[in-house]
Amino acid sequence: MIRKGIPEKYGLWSNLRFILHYAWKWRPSFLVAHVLSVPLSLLLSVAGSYVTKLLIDNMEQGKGTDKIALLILSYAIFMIAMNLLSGWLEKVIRSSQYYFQFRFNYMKNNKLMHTDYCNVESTKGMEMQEKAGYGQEGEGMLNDLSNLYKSVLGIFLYGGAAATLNPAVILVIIAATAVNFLMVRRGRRVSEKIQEKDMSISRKRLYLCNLSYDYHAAKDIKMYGMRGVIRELADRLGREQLSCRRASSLCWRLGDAVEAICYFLTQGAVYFYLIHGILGGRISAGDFVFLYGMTMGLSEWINSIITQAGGILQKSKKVSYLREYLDMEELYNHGQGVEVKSAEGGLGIRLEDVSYSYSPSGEQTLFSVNLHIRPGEKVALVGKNGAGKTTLVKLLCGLYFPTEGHVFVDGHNSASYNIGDYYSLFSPVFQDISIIGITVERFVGSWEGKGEIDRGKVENCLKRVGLWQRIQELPKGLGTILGKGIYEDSVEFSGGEMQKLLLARALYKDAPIVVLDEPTSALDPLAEQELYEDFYRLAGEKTVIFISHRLASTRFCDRIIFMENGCILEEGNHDELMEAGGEYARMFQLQSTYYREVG
Amino acid sequence: MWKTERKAVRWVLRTGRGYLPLCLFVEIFGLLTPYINIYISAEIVNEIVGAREKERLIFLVAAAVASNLVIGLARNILRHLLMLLAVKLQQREEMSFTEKFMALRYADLENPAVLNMRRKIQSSSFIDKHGIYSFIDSIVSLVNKAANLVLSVGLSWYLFRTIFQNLHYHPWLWTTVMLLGLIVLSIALGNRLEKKKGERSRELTDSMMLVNRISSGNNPYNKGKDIRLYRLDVPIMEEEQHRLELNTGGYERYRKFLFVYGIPGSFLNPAINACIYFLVYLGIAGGFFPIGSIMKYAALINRAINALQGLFGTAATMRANRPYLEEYLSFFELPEEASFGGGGITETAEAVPEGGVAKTEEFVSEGGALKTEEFVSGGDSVLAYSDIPKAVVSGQEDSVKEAVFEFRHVWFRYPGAETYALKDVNLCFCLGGKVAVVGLNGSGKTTFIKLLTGMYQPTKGEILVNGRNIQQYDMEEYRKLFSIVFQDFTLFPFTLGQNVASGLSYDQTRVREVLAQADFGERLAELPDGLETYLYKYFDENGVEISGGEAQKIAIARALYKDSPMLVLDEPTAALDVTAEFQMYSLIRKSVEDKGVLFISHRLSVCQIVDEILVFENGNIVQRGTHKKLLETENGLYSRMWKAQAEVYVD
Repeated sequence: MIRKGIPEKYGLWSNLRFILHYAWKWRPSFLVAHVLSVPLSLLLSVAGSYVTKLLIDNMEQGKGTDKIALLILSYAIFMIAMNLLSGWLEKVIRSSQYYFQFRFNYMKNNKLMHTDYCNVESTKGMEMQEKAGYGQEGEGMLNDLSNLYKSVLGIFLYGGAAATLNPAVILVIIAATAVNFLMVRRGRRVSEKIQEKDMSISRKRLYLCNLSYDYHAAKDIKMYGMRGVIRELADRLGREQLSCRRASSLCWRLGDAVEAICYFLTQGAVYFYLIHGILGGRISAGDFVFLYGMTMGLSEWINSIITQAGGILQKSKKVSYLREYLDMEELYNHGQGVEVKSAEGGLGIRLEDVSYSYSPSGEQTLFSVNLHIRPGEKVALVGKNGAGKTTLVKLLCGLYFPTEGHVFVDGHNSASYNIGDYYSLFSPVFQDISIIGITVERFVGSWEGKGEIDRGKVENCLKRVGLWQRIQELPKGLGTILGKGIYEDSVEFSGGEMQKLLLARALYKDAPIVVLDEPTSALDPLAEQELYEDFYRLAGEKTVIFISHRLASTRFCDRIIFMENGCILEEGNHDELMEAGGEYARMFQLQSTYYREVG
Repeated sequence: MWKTERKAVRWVLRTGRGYLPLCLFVEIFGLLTPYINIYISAEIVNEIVGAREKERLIFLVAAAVASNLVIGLARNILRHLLMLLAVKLQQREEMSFTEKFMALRYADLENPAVLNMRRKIQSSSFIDKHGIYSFIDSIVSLVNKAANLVLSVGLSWYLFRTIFQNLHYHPWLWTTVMLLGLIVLSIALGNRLEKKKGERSRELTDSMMLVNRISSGNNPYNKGKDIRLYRLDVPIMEEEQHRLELNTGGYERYRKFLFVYGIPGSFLNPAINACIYFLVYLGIAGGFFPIGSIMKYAALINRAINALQGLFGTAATMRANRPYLEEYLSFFELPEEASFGGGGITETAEAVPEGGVAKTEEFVSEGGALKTEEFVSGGDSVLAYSDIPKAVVSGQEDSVKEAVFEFRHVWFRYPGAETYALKDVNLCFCLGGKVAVVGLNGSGKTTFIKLLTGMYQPTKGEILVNGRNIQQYDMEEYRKLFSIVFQDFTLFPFTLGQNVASGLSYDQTRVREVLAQADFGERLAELPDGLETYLYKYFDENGVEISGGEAQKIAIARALYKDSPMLVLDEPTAALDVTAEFQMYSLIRKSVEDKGVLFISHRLSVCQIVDEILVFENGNIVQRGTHKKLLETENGLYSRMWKAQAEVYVD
């Protein structure tokens, strides 16, 4: 969590080193170009003023045409060389900028893929993830740094040229800059506050805009006349946004007004001092032009130092967000772990006093659950919505880490496995379906790498779940890409078909522990029956944990575990539980009612 | 010629109100500072080189400094006003998209061509803007360049006149000819560069768009479980890597191209500058102008040339932008769902007996390439909700059955699909009954519902209500007939109460009542802010996450709150637990007994409590009747399904 008031874990220098390290690693030419571009651009800016001075001086002294022509010509040649060189440097610098942004973003996404799942799902984790996204802007630190370096050099260079000035003029310049700086700082502080609110409003408005073309939502928007609601909400947000923008604009405009006044004072002081010098005969016309350019330039350099320094600090904060995310603490073991033996059959599972709550302050979802599942046992978890069945299963699969207690698989604590190895022990089918734009073949065989997928096995798994025919009918067969709207010929499967696809994927992975969370809720009765018969057969020696509201499909399990409010309430096989006449028996009766009234 | 641009200007003026005029004014006003500075600083140098008159020098300096201050402050105020107008323009622009999307026909929202069009229009590339905002920029730039040209040429008029009058002076003539040649060359090259740049960036944007689109589909947020347990991270990161390479590689090539094509400019611009200096120097040497003019004229001619190059460049940008602009504007001409205004529906129907249908056809034809299917406009007048028999609307039991729905030889094929999802469906049913729709996965049940509720139009055949094609009804009105829970329903991240009532304000008691009916009462009591609790976290940090089962209950409550004559439920119990399912059945039996119910389910237990069952197979209705009657056909699909599911429960 990013807390206000507590110093950040990573300091400015540490962040600079971080950015420089990667810049040097990825694109050394970028750094070299930056270092070269600074003196070059300074030279360019001084040269303009200086050549004008030379021209005026020469003309005033009545030098010949050949001399002037030579001066103009050599300036042109100098400019051509400079243009080419700075164009090339710009190319090097600009073309790397996006590379850095993408690479930092890639680092963040990579972390997102591999960190413990609870870090992905928790509010804290999501917040950190969102902030880490700003980290990619950290690349701008280098730009600011090089500008800062330029400004410092500029001050020395211009300052040297303007050293002949009266210290009073320099004082005016510095005073004006200081006032300007204070205004800018105030402006930034105020607008940062407003910006946060503005961003949240914009996010909501964007959500509404996106909603309008979400074809899933469109059905309900049309059926429930949500157009008016969306319009009204968007209007309200629009008005809020406008008032935010007005406030921040006023703040910036005030700053600009002060800046205009400061500029007025500086310019006035410089002009009057120089004119005083001319009237006193100390300054030539050429010097006047040159000195004016240098002095006004000097005040700009001083201003720029302040801006750059502020920018660097701001970006350093963003880099901190990224680094904090990358270094986020893990609960599971991501290093070397217990060796995973390749077992043909199922593995045993033991839960010891396992409790879980989603957030430290939040309500507890599981209360010291104790459970022992033998290798190869078929266990059903039943209970009302919200009883904690899915949480228990996620905990088992290594997605959540127990708040208290331990999970043992094959006799080893889940935390002692390398988490990647641990995941290989489970073939789960979860309730929610997530699709990514890859081919059917890749999706089913996703446990294996791209080149290692066994096509025959994919085909076999699809046949077993009764989806092979459908896939074959598609013009691109196994090569069809999932999800609508990505490619013209991609396919969106129905809920039932998707469930079959998920089952096929679980079959393909062929792990020792099979977890099924409502795997058939969208299947028709015939497909459901077939799948159950098939699955019991196919599961064979494997350990199966099975969640379903269809009590008919769970009644054949070796053991049924009835959960309520995060605790195990009843345990036993179907007949035992029916005899006991408890909650399970009551639920079974209820579901049978409308099947029994027949005859 | 310029038809698109004229249309775009009208669009900007309409959407942005005062934005464009003010923007142009600010642009021209902003030119005052540089020209005043150019003019005055030259005067100062001339005065220094010349008479060195103290009063005049002080006056000039004071004028320069003061005018900078005054103009600077005035511009500040203008910029503030402009910013406000810009925000409003952007908001209205966004809203016009939102409104348009919501008015589109459902089938078009699913159409990849329309989806692509949206992406193209809304993707703003980091290389350059295109579409309407680029157009606005171009207009502003055109005006700016033109004003610059007029001002700079006007202020250096004396120079031009002098040159023209003294062309017999050879060095002067040669320099002028050379300068003109260089200018022509640089404009020609600039044009070519601009054109190439447009092509390149369009290419790059297109390829990036594709790859970004794929990645955005791969948003890893809610896929965390699969990423870990099925190594989906591998394809996602592969895609990410590909995206990185394509985006950055493409951009690097683009930068390289810019550098290479910029090389001639690197030579030309200093050469042009040198010519200008030399030209002005000759004038000074010849005694035509004072020394101070070297800065003034050099700056003015430079500006004039820049403005000229800019004018041509902007014109090229506008040409390159035209396809985007056309696409942008054509989006707003996509066909919309038949709707004939909210309040005066009956009047519309009476006043425009045929006009309404003609209007819908107009929408279709204007849609151009994107028109999907022609309206099947068989009838002769537009019907509104009020034309549906009054009894139907009021829902009195004896007369509800008066509304008769008829599917007449309805065929339907999804856009792009080869096979029909529905094949020659013929069906007639009354509004009041309770009907169960069952069948295997993919047999066309959900498609049937989508056609009935007017989401899709039949590919062939027609759907009639009381003998009139439903497409003659105002769709918004027609849909008031149905309260529906779709299989993949959507809840919105608004408050619970707003979700149930589908409105910003609602009747609290009724909302509580329907939530209790949908078995959500217990959970409601636990919610921190009751009905005011936000669902999800998009709109409120304290919003609650809800499970699939809970969401289903809220969706059911929403349907009940709408209280339409017909309740349509597409697999509403899939994620419900046993108790909630049972409650659902009781609900159908009791509290909605005065309503028609259409129930799609794979849980056949529901079939015992309905009046009639429709069995779908392969896009058609193969069996129809009561539970008892259907069981009589022993080898029928229904019997087989029933056996598969019910056997286990019957000991």
